[in-house]
Amino acid sequence: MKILNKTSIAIVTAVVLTSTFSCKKLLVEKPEAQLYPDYFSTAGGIQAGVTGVYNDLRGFYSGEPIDLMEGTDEALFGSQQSTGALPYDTYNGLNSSNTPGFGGLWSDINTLNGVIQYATASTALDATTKAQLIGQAKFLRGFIYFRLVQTYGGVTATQPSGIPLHTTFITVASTADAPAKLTDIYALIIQDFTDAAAGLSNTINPAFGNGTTGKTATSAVAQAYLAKALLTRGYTEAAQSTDFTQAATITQNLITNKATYGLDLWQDYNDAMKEANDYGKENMFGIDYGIGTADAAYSGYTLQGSGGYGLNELMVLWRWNYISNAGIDNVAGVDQVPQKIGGPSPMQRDVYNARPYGRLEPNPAYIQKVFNDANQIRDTRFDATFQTFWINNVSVRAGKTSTGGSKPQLKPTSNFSQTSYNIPVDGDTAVLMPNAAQSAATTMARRDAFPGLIVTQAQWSNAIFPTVKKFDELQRTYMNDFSGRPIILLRFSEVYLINAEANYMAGNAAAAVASLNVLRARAAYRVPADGAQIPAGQFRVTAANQAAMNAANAAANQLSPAEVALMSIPNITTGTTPDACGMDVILDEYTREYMGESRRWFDLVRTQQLVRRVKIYNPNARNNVQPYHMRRAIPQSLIDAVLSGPKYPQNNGY
Amino acid sequence: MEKLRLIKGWKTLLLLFCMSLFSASIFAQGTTLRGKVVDQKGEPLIGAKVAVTASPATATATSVTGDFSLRVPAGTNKITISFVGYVSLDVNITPGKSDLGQIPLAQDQTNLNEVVVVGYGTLKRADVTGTVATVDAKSLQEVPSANVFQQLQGKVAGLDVTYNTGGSPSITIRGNRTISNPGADGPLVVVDGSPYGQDITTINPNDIKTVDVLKGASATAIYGSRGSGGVILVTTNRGRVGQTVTGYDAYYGINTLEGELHMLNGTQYNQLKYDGIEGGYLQAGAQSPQAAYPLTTTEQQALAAGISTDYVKLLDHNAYTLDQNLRISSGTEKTQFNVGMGYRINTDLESSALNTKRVRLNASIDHKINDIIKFGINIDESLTMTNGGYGGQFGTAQWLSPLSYPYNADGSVNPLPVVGTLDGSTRSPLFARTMPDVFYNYNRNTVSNNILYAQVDPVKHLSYRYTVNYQMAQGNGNSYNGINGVDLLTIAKTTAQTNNSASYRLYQQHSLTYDNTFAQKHHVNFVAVFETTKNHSESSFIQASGIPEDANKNANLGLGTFTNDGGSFIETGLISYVGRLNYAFANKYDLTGTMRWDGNSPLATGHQWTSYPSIGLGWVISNEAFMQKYNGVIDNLKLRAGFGQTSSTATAGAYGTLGQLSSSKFQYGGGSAGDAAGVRVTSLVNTNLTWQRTAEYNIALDFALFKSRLTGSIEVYQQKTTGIILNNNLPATLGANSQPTNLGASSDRGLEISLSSINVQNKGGFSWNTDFNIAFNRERIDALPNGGLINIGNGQFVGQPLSVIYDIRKIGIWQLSDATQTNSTVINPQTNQPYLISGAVRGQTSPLQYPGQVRAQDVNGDGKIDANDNQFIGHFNPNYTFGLTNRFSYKNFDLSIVIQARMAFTTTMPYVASANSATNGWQYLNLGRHNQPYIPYWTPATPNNQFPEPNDLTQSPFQSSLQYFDGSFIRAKSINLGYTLPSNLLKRIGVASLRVYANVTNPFFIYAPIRNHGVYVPDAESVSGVGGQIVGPSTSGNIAGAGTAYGLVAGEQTRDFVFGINARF
Repeated sequence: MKILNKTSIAIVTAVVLTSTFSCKKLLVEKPEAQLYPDYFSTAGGIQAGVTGVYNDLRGFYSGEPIDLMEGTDEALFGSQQSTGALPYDTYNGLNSSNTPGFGGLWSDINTLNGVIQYATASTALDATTKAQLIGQAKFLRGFIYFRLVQTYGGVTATQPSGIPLHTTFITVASTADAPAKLTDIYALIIQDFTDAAAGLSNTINPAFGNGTTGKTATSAVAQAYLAKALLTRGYTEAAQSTDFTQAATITQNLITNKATYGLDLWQDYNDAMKEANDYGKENMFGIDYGIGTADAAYSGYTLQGSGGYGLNELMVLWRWNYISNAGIDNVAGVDQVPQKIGGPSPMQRDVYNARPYGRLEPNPAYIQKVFNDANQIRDTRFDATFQTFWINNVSVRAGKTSTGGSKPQLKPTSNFSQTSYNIPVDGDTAVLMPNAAQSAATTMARRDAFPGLIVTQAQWSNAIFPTVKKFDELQRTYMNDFSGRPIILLRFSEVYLINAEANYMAGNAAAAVASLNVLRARAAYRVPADGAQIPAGQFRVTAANQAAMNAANAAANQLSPAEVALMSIPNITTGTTPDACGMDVILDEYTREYMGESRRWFDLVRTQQLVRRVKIYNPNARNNVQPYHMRRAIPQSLIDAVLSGPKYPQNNGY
Repeated sequence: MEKLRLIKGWKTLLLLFCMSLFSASIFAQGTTLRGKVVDQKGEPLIGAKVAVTASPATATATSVTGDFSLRVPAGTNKITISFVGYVSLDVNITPGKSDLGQIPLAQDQTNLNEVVVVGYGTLKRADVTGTVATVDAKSLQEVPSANVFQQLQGKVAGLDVTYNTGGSPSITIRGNRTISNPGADGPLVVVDGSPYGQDITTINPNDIKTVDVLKGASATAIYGSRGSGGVILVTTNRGRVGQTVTGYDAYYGINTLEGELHMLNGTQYNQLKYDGIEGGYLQAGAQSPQAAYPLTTTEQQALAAGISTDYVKLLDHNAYTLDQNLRISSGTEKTQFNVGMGYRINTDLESSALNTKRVRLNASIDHKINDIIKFGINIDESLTMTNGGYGGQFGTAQWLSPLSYPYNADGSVNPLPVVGTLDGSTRSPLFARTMPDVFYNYNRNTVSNNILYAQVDPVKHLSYRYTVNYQMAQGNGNSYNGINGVDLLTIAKTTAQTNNSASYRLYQQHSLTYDNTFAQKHHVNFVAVFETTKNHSESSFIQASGIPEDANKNANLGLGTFTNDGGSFIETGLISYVGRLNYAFANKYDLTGTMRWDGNSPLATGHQWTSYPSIGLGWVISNEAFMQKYNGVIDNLKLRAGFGQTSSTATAGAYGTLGQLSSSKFQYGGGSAGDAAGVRVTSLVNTNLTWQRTAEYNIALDFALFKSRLTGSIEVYQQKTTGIILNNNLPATLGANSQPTNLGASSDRGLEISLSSINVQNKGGFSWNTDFNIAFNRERIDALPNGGLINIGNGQFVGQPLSVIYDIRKIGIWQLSDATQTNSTVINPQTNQPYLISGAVRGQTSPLQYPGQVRAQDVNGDGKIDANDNQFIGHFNPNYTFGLTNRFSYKNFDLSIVIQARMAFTTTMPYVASANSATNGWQYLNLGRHNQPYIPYWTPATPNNQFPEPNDLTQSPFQSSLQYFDGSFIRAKSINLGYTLPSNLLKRIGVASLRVYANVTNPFFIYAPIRNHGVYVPDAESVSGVGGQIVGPSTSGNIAGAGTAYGLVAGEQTRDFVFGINARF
């Protein structure tokens, strides 16, 4: 049968043709559109691991880190506080807002362990690149462990570290884990920073930024963090006797060799906070967000929109609701709180004034003390930090006087914009927050005569307070946009403060005083242009008196004899007497230098001053705060997920 | 009557049929009877046997038009008409009347000789031990639709079709099994023997001959790792031996929006603002000097002028559907072919320029080379083109203020009708359709399914078949948004996107079938199969902004700036060995055993191969000797029992075990330096993952009573699913938060009853029959990961259905009389109107509540409403579903009515509870920023216990408790009335038969309690934009509760008025 033969051949051919995809191969998975761990065996993959961690830190530091500010001496919660507000009464392991870093940071650590393991074994990398990559990875690992141990780790001799220590690449899931010894964790951190300081270049390596924009780790950054880690360990049960002196030595060397690393202080404190200097000589390490970035895929944030992560939100947290709360009817006989809030608002949202989140209020009792009137004259840092007047930008009649008469129509700024950062050039002041002396002189007659609203220092509340302006971003094009400026985690000025604190703890009061006085001297410096940003009637310099006033103020701003005397009194961590030891001088100085930056909780915990200073200054939290609050609760989700081996312990007190 | 027995048994029938072919001219005297044999739709039955009852040898067969002419001996008083698959009919002969006219036959639902598709072959229904429900084309076409799943609604017991957002159907058979991922429980769809990887809507329902639904693991275990969700076997038309049949089927339908929300009119909207202030005073004291969103000047003007704009009405206009199909089929003993082509267009309710066009071709050839070899090919091609550019405006149309002007004085659309409000930049929903070129969204999809087989029957009873299936799909999406002069003003902001996707499936099957009967009593059917499947899919997309001009659209994105791009790639493989033995003894006892081994690529290495056994037993009781005395009453009685194991592959995807790195790009040195590649380790390699497994027992009783006038089956089943793939939380300190792991167990048990009855059989030309099915299913979580008993956040509780609502219960509204004091009033300085203020209600210490707010049940009576007062409110799965189809025919008229029901479940009506948000959903009870549906809310003047009073200051607590309603409904799915034109009329124009019909799809609801609360379409709200805002209980008063977002989903359900014809040539 001829046909049968032909057809048979055709069928057999067809079967053979379609059988060419082999059976075994069918079950082997070869993904193409995504990356898998084999990527680490390439040179690009190793670098990508470091890059991925840098990017993750953007997400980690974005958002609202109010847990590091609320519940300290510096801040009270604002009227628009978010859930999880922290006067310590809701401090627990269930509330993710006060158990930061779990999840993402551990993925970073595992990624870095992979990078270190693969880079060490790699033959694809040249020696220089290998050293740089391992240096970066070790710095980042030390940095993240340092952050975690400061958050969860022990501060007294009876408590363990709270966190596990993983230094090898984990690829297989497990349901067991346990905290490590505090000494082992600090040993790793110090070793990592030491290795990084040796491996990294003095200035930013071209592979990790071009040095003018971008602030990734350098040898100097690693050394500063090494000093800070030693300083921090010095207070703990894992302390070694040389910790403070070593920290002092390392920071002194950095100061001495600052030119080698391209580091220095700006002459004017105002310059240190300026957007133009974000990548300048004073800022050492920061989290980048991409200045004015329009790349939505990178920032995760749609400009002129909302949502997403990946931008600097610090600028809106300390901003009172100047739109809704700026009502200006005066009420007869009411010269203090409350001014009546009512009538049409003289303010609307614009780019200059930005989005008011109202999360945090500068703690009046503390802020009015460390930035008092006398300080304000000889020290520019209050004026550089706070916005205290608001220029009217709506054409309205400005409410009623105390006798019921109408106030005059306010003159709005001619420079109002919802699409660019325009500094108001004229217009009446809608809201003014005068200093102590002027506050005391504010009578009802003065209020009635003043076209806008006067908020005296006694009238600061969680709804009305000076706004922290140091994070303002000039390149925004929409009033609701957040900032694309970097979040600075380490400024060169802090090297002086670490040096001062380490010397103080080591008993070298004179050296500590000398370091503090460097910052005090710098803080006294003003230029006439700085005066544009402070209200009329407050101290400013002119071109004519600049030199004389700066010299006089610099002298006046040196540590007073009383402060110098305190520097010889060792750290007192109990009691409620203010200004009892040198640590009070140092911590006040941290506030003046870094007010509003998300770090205060760490400074108080490190110096074991959290309980004492909160009890002295913070009316919301003083009745709740306990020594065990100096470490966060272990997240319940971690305790619940450890199912084999010993149960994961919760920190004491929770 | 007793003569009907003569045609019992298929052998007799066949014998008679053959004899009839040469018997027509034997009788020389008597009269000649004429008539036409048709089905219930009036369509001719070709080849039906017509025989003299008393003398079966005197017989003939009907022609291609269904006509017959039979010379019968004088004195003949009865003839019998029979046809395979239909109930035989005796027709009385009146002396002197020779034209019998049209004679309809009723379908026999459980013909034991019928051959049914069981997967990898066919079996005689009498020998089947598993559960197979068959729905034929005629029954499907009672609901004109582009989607066969819609046609299946209400037709098969236990098959539940619901809709997801966007209107795509989601199908479950015998309930849900997969905890936390119920979408994974859908069935495997097999088209003409090959698993189908594409959207079922690409198959033209007019090309479908039958749909067989395999239920229960003993039937589906032969599909192994893909069998848990049931299997739907679709068989398309093929050519038949005989005359050429040309069919033309077409219909035109007008689609109307099936019910819409009643929105507040202008006056009511204004009243809402007043009531919001009133609520603010009453519930929060004198802190509310003004409405949060007071009427703007324009709105006040509109109110004074009596304007009340209903944007939905202005937007909505009737859409149409035109569906045409032509089919030609024919064949000789050696070669048969079938060619079908279809064209369908259906337009959008918002504009007839927005539409979906479908072109579908279907062809098959079967050729027998000789007695040993035959081969064939079957191709199915479809092209779907969608223009969806500026649709989806109903959501906005609903929430825009009715106190606004939709048109300018010159008659043009007012582009920004609510300017001056917080939503001032919202474009009018009427605007986009005035500029179709700048709201451009065009999609084109082609699917090609090609099956080639060759069959060799080298010796008797043995057959080898090789099948290769190549399936290919390509999709292409194009969108462009240009400058519209309203909210998109600069070239820099224009956006365009192109996306492309392609996929193919390469499937080959070798199968060997042995079928033989030994010693007349032992029937053996053995099938062995080896098959491999390779699935490949890939996609890419690119987005750009700054397109220079509208003419460019998305043709060359390089003209602008790229803003986003990406791609995907997935390949999976499946290798299987299958064996099945079916043994029937003496037509009484049946045994089926199957075994399948599957190797699947997405599983962890070392866990890829698994096996799936099943066994089925059948006992045809009615064939036992002791049952013969009931003959005539019990025609068939069969008991079946089976057990099998299956899996679902939808629960884990490709590459899920390999530990994918997360992309985490970074810019060293700001944006100018560009993105550097970055990765992080966020998941770990999974070395243990395997499929979850469902084991199922099934017991069934099939019966046919009263000469098959009543047929049906009763089924009982129990499923147990173990090793359900759920995320296991890992200690975060390992660097990964969770990993899919085989944890968790669930079970289902159920009862299904299917009945078909012939109620009236051709009494005076009138016939009536009924199909009814009802399915009860109870699902239950048996175990959660790591021995946990509850997972409140996901609504999972051991012992409860897979997804339940756990929340506080609303028992009413706090009334004025419940308050401590309510006597004072305050004058509002803005409106100069007095408002009542109130003290808190008595007896509740936390939270303090006020009249007009939700009154929650205080379960533990401690005076506080907190998490301890949460209780089970309901579940989302229906306790039972049923379907009822009635068919009537009278002379040339036929009528069918399809009814479908889902009963006893809770659904959520989200818009009564949603939180304040900018542009989505409603802010009912809060602020009055948007217009909202009419809801009978409480006010001091009109107190009730239904909905709380609006409050422009704060949202009333516990609002989530408002959204739970009984979701039960019984709906008339379709009413179809047809008329078959008399054949003598048609003959002249060369038409064999012509039926015209009118149909209404979704005509009305018989029962749906939720419709008393403003919802008009209980299974999918008839609007877009509503469904997205289902409120999690935890957002209500900060009480942790549970619930998942299953409820009313957005979808434009339509009521269709259809006119069509079925013509045969």
